[in-house]
Amino acid sequence: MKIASYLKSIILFKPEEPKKPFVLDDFEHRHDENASNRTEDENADVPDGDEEKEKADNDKNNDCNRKTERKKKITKPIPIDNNEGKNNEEEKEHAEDGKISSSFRTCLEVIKKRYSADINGDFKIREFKVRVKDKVYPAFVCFFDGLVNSSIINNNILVPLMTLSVMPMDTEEQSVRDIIYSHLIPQNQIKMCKTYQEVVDEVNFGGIGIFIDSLDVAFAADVKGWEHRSVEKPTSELNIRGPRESFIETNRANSALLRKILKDENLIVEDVLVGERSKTPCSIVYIKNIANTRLVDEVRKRLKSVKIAYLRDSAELEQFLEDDTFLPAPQLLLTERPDRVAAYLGEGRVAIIVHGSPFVIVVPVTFFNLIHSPEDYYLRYPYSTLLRFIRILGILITLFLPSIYLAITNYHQEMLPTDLLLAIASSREKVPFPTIASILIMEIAFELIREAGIRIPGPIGPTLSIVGGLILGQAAVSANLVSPILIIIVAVTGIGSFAVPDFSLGYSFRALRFVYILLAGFAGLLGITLGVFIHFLLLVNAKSFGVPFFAPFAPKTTGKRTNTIFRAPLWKEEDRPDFVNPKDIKQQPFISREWVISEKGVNTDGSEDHNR
Amino acid sequence: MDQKTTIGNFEAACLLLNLILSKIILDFPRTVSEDAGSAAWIMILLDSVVVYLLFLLISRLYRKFAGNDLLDVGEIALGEIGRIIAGIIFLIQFMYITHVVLRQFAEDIKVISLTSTPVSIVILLFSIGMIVGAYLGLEAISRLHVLAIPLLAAAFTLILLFNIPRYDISRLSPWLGLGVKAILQKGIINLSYFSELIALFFLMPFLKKKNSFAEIGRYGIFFSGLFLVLSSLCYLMVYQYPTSTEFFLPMYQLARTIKIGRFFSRIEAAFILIWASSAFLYLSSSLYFITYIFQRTFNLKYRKPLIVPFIILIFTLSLLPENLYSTLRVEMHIYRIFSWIFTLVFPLILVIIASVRTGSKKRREEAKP
Repeated sequence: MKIASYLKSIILFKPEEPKKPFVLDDFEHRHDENASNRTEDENADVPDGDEEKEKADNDKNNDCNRKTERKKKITKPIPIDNNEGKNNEEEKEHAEDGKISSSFRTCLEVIKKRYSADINGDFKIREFKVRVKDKVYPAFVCFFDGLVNSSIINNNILVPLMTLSVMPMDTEEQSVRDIIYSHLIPQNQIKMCKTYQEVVDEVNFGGIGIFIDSLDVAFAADVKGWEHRSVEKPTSELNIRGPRESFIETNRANSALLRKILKDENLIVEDVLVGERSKTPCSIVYIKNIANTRLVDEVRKRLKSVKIAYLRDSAELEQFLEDDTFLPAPQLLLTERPDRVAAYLGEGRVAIIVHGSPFVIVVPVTFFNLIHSPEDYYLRYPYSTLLRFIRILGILITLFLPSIYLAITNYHQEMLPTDLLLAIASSREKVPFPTIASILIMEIAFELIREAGIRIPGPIGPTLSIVGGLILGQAAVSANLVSPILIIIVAVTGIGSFAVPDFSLGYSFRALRFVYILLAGFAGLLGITLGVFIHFLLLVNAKSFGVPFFAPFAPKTTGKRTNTIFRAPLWKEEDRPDFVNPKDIKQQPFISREWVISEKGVNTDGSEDHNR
Repeated sequence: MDQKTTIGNFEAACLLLNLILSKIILDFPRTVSEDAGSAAWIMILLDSVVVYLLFLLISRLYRKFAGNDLLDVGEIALGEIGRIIAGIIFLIQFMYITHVVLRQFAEDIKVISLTSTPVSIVILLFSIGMIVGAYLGLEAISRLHVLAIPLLAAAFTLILLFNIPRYDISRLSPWLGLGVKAILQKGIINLSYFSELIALFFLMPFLKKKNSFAEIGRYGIFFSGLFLVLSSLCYLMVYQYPTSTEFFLPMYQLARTIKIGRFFSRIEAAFILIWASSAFLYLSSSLYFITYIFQRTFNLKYRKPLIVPFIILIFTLSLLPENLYSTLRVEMHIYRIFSWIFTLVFPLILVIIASVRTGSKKRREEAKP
């Protein structure tokens, strides 16, 4: 029959059968359809071949009939289980207030339904019997395979419940619930839950739910055992001196890394769930007797008010917490180094750990924090001051070198000494483009190489470096596309941009240099000055969690703190930054090296002893 | 977390300094030497002393009204009419000087580097900066002053230092220049060089410490007087009167003569950065004051919608003079002759009336029960 119709269709050029391509139509409609299908499925017993045939026949019926039929079915829902009407009523009752039922079967049904146990492959339910006070109670545990540690479940949950219960115990006066809680589940983190939601939240995050007949509570034990990365070397904040651990994707491991450094009972790790569906565990970390209470409150307020469906990373949270979305600079610090976070916590700042992210957020920060590197503190004072100087030079070069070159060659040729002017002029002689065009070509090429370098798969990497060398090299000069001086300028600018320690700030400078190039092309040094004026106005106007972004310079705060542009010797950093308003401003005493009193003749009040 | 705008003493002082001193990089050393010859520096020294004493008097009287700006004082003195009259006078004063200075800066930049750019485009660029500055408000502007003024002061000092080899004290003779009469006569008119001091009285409500205005004013007058005297003195030591009256951009002329070795022989172009940043700071803060005064005078709820109308007004006004010379005439022959009356004498009168009225009110209240 089919073959005949197929042949007929070929000869008569008619379509074989009306096709039904998959269309993702609007959600409402699909929802109705699914709902009606589900009632159909649930209504039916185990489907067999006959029914499928019937369905196929039904399909052939006209649409009008189907619609009326479906409507009828929707309007008259049939109970899930006719045989257990009583239980069903009870379940409804409990489902309404979400309290755990004392009936084992109800619990099982509710859990199965909540987790769609029949289609959820990794959701496991294990039924068994518990024997307490010579009575046998049916019980079951539920968990996600892969999220939990199987051996802990076997040894610490199932073995005691199934076998230890027969052991003689002096528990005559205790209730079944207390016996199970205090004798039969030898697991260190166990929670007695009264609602299904509590159990579900635990199970979703690598816990196990234990339901026992005749109890109106369930137990949720922490048996996390998912695969995760181990603590490794930092990849984006490298250093030579100092510790080499970095955060990982698990928030408890991250808080432990901090506790390992700070060893302070005043270090508070406050848990907040963010994400309406993902329920990502986040932790607000601060030192209770240093951090300003108002700052902690503000962090808590902002974090709790974030409404997002799925929170995956701290970089996403950053965008929900920052004060100004359009400011060309990050207002929160993201770091993967526990030692850096610990240092900031010690200054009275607050950190936010997000589960699933190896970057921890630190607030509040100033512009100067973003140009500091963790290594500054591990190097001796003279070297680190030099490093900071070089870094600031790098920032200035990134922002201004191409634009100043453009301004000078286009508008202010008189600025250059004659010899240099002639050198530049002769090198540009053969280049057909205006300077602004060639600068933009080269800068965009550089950005392309940088972007491709990140995205390129490992094995193809060397190709990129060869091509990159051609573009930013002699070939471009030989082709008379750009002048050799321009190549040097673009290369130095590129290198300068990578000297910025903060990844996000580096991006900001790289993006803004294009603005400066355009301004310089438009009005030379006046254009650059206009850019600087607006750029800095925006920066000084910005705030990070209530702290002015350019503190302690603009506004000038009255601190003695010198660790901003250049570093002071470590023993001189007596005060915590005053713009953070910590509860305790003193970090170390005026004389933190007590040996100088005897050896260098310094009095305890700081004055020098001239009689030595 | 506190939404109210406050500025610190240092920020206020920096703002004041830039407002008073930006005329140094325009034409100040030339105009004073035109007025008093080689004794220009003596004249401006005397002016500074007079302004200092005058400010001491005003600040003594003003202590009662600390935290209120001049418009409040006008209201206390003469009621609502007083506030509106004072507001309009100060508004005209600020509008006048702003449009003149805008045109001057634009013309100077045009002469220095952007020779083929139409002056309206340069003014437009300045206007963009002014809009952003006035939009972000006093807090941002004053903070930027804190970052910029030390750098500008350092650059200015460097210009003076690098000219040391060319200084010749004998060029200052005759020591009394065009004579004592000229010094005194022109000295009174030239009190107008300090007319931007008026801005301090509009900063009052924003100061963190209400009573520190006297300190800010004293330091502001001291340092601005110092720099004004230094600039005129150094300029006259390099270019003797009447040569000194010929250069239309005296500080630029000083910068041009700097030679450090063979490589750095023409660094004056770099001073465009100083010129332009000082201009941006000056213009944006004065646009802020214009909108602020207008808002306060007429008790308006919002300030930001005023920015665009006023910038269009200032832009248009600044294009009215035919050329730089007529702009300078507008400044020299009208503004400088009358400005000191409105900015130094008028506030003094207002404060005296206000304190007399509050004093009599107090006495009446005391007498009542």
